[in-house]
Amino acid sequence: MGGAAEPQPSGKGGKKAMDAAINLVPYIDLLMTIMTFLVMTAVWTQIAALEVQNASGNAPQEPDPNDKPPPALFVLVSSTEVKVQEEGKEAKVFPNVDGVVDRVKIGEDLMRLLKDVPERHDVKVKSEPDVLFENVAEVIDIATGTCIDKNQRDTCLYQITLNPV
Amino acid sequence: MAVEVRKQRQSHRFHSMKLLGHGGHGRSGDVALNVTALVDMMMVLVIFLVMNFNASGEMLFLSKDMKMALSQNGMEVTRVPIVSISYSDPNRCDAEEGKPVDPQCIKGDGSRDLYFEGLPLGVSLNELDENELVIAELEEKLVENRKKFEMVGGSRAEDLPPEEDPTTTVNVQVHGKTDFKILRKVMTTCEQAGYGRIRFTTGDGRKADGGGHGGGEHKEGEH
Repeated sequence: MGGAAEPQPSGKGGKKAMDAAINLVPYIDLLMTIMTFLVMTAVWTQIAALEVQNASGNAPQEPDPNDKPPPALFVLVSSTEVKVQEEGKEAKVFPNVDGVVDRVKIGEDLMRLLKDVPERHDVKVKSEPDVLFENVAEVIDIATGTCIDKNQRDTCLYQITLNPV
Repeated sequence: MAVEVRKQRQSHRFHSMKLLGHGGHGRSGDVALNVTALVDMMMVLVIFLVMNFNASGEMLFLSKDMKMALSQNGMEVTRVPIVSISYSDPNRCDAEEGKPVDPQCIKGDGSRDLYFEGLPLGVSLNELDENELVIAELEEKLVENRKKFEMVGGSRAEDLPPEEDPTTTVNVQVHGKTDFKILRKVMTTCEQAGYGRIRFTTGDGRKADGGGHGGGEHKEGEH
């Protein structure tokens, strides 16, 4: 087992066959070794990280006096709803659907607010004490994924702050 | 690529047994086996495994009491200290939609424990004082971790990208059913210890549809 086809004379007049016998045994051995290594080192659980900065307690960075920062964007998470509010404006309320935050509508609203002020990069997420982390993580995830152009980080809401209400 | 038929038998004893023959007429013991399908299958498996290969390895400590939330837009997890909040969920054996009930499932007792680098800190998060925002045991471990790194690596942390700096960045692995009031204590403690950059580890919803849930199952499940 494990050899390629035996060379057969293909031409007339005793011409030399062009087919060559290839021994497949080392090739199969190599594949088996690679497979064993890969199966033994395989990581089946795919994980990712959601970064929050300057979370509860840390002093905020000193703003540049020449810079006029865009109006702050707040996302307030409670156990029944999520409120999205731009500083100085009225909050929009998104009730949870079956106990889970309304990902699509919140995403659309954040995108609208980002397009209004493209130089905005930070979102202040505030959560009530009894909110489950899976809902907070969902909101952070939505905010992190809000980008005008996914390939350019400067067009995203990448600076997420997490604080209690 | 057919298999080469040998001219000579390797085992004369096997040949003399005539196992493959009928009625005393010995038939050749050689069998032509096509290995093309075998090699094809192996190649497919190797490609699949290489695509799934993760050089950073399994960094997180997963158990039945650690079912992480999911994210669609998460970043790559870096090797920085890991703080874990587990939850022994009393409802974890309840039937989920479209999944059979595991008869061997053991119900959780509702306890929430704190771990640092996979080792329990002996802190029951359910019994912490409501008004106390800093967990002393965790703060001590974090400070100790920074001291150790600085002792070994000197000022090497300054050369590292911020998300890989083990003296200012921490991975917080949280069970999805953890209340924010508990998480807040851990976050405040991390910041108090000088770890201001907090990265929550989640299941990656992009790579595995609805997957990435921690827990011993290591399988994908719906959120």
